[in-house]
Amino acid sequence: MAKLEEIDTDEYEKIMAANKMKRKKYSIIIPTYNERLNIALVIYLIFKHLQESEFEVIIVDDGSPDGTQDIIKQLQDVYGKDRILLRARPKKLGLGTAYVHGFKHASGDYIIIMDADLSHHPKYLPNFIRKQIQTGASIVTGTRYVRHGGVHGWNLMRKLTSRGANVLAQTLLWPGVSDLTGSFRLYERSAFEDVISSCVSKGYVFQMEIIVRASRKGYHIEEVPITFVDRVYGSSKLGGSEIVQYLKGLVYLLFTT
Amino acid sequence: MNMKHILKILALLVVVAATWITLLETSVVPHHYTWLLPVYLVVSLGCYGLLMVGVGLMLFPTCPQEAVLLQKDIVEAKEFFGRRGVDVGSD
Repeated sequence: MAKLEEIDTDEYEKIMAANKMKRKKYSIIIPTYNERLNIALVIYLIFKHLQESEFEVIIVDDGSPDGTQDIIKQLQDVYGKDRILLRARPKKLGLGTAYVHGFKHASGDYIIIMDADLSHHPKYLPNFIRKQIQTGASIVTGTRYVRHGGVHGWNLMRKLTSRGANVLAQTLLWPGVSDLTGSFRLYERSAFEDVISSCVSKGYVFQMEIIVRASRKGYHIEEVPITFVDRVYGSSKLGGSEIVQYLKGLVYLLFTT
Repeated sequence: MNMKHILKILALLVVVAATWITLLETSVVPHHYTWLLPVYLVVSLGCYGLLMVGVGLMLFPTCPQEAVLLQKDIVEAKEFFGRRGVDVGSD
């Protein structure tokens, strides 16, 4: 290894310039609705764990009545308006369109999507980034269902429906990923733009549609284990109508992808 | 453009059906057995599915320690913001 004095200044500057050029920027898009407390915690953890990377956070708030946007403005005072972008919308307009809206304001080479409720922990962000760099993948998706991943806060019924839904989806769709409904993902900018333009579903079927369409289009997809802490115990997310919606979504994806 | 997924599945079903019909036409396997093959196939698939669900449920990865770590993170974040005047009182 050359001693520092032996590298001439020109060479050193070239190396530093090359490093700067390689430095990729990450845009983290977080849709929010009534996440007054959680969004501050998420922002703190993002800045704590992503000190080595260049990034911006784009918060798409759908007119939260609980003062989420006031908190975001306070966060902008702490971290800077160039790092935290608030791109709000007047009311709840859906998750898919929230991502599209956020993407319009994103200047990063990579797009990361995650939830605001701390079920996705920012400490995994370096893992996503490292995996993408190591494998050159177009998409890195977080999976809760593998070793070193996991879920906390689900009762037996919830786990059963999750597992049953997953087996059914794997049998019908052969998606090539272990966690279809997850929404903690990293995309190359061009991949994101390409896939999201062809997705029309709503809710979590939307998350499934994105990853299945990406898989069909032949994008290189890698997975990283993530842990998922559900703090909304006994959440009403799994009623009969949710199950019907899911099955409809599966059939739709079976025939149109 | 890639072949649509549903076409792949239909192709698979066609191959299975063709195999079954061939077995019916030739007499390699006794007839009364061959007629029931599709039923056996569906039942086996069903059992396999249930097995996958059951095994998956038993081996479902959990992470109770993560809830504890999360609480620590929350306390840390609240202290940080308390010092900087960001209002993170309970909602």
